[in-house]
Amino acid sequence: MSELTVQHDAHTHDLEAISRMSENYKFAMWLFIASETIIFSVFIAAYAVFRFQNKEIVHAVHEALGFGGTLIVTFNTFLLLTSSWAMVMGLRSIQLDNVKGGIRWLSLTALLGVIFVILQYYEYTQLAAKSITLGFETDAYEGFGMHFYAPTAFHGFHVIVGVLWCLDVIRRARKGQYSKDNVIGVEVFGLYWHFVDVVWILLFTLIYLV
Amino acid sequence: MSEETMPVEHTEQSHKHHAHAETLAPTTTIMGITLPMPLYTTVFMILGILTVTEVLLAELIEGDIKIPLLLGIAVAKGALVVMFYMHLKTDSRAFALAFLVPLGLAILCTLFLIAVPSTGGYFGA
Repeated sequence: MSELTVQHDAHTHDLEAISRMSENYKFAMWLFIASETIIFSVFIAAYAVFRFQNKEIVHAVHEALGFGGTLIVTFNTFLLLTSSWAMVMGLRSIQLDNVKGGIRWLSLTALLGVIFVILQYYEYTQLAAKSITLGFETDAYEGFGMHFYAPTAFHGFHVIVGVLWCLDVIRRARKGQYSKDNVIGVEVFGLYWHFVDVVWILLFTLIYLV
Repeated sequence: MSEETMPVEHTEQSHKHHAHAETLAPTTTIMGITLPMPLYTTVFMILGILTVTEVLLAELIEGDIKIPLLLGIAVAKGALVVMFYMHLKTDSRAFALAFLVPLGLAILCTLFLIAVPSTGGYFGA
């Protein structure tokens, strides 16, 4: 057997090992996402029950916020959708052997995540000014505050974790840990980030539009 | 590895390669029409259009009739992200099973909570 054949076999063996490892990491991430699905479902179920029992209160909140309020949240939704797109484009760039391009896309992902959190904080200050609070007795809308802040703040926490994770992925990419044959770190982070996006898609519709 | 399993693995391998090529290609073909943008960008455009549609429907339609419409659009958007961005359309079915079984149970529990009189009673109202 020639030296070239041995090297080729070793390379193939490495790729197979990376592929196997990738599948295991992804499966672990999907199991984590499954557990997160249950947690978010509890928040969503609690809000849905509140919404159907207190139509007038939710309607009054929507009236108080006006179209301006919807516009800010719609813009925020676009930020998160764009960040998801930037995420997959970053993965695609690295798969096309363009790591620098991938880093640029991932940086955009992190930046959009940060802007999302800042705008959500701004929205919270606006809601607090309209007496939508966590406490049942201080809340002007009889418990809407708790049902609203719990799922959206928990989601916001996930965005903050996602931004920190994204920065770590960028750091690793800069150190040359990813290549077109090894993108698992980026892919697993992507699964998390897209899940956070999917949760927002549902929260946006259920809380702000329905 | 037995000879019987080899063709199956080859099929899965070629399926994965095909999926990989689909996401890396600079164009997207939908129903015979080729768009000059990658698959990921096409999905992003569709998500954007659906979001604008949702907001317009919410503003224009009054009453409970908009609820199934808006929830339907939200589910479609979520499905697009899960299938194409999270690659569930082309990845192992074990991943889909790990995600869809708890999701199905969660949806059933939520519907139950909304339906029963002591917590929601919506469907009976």
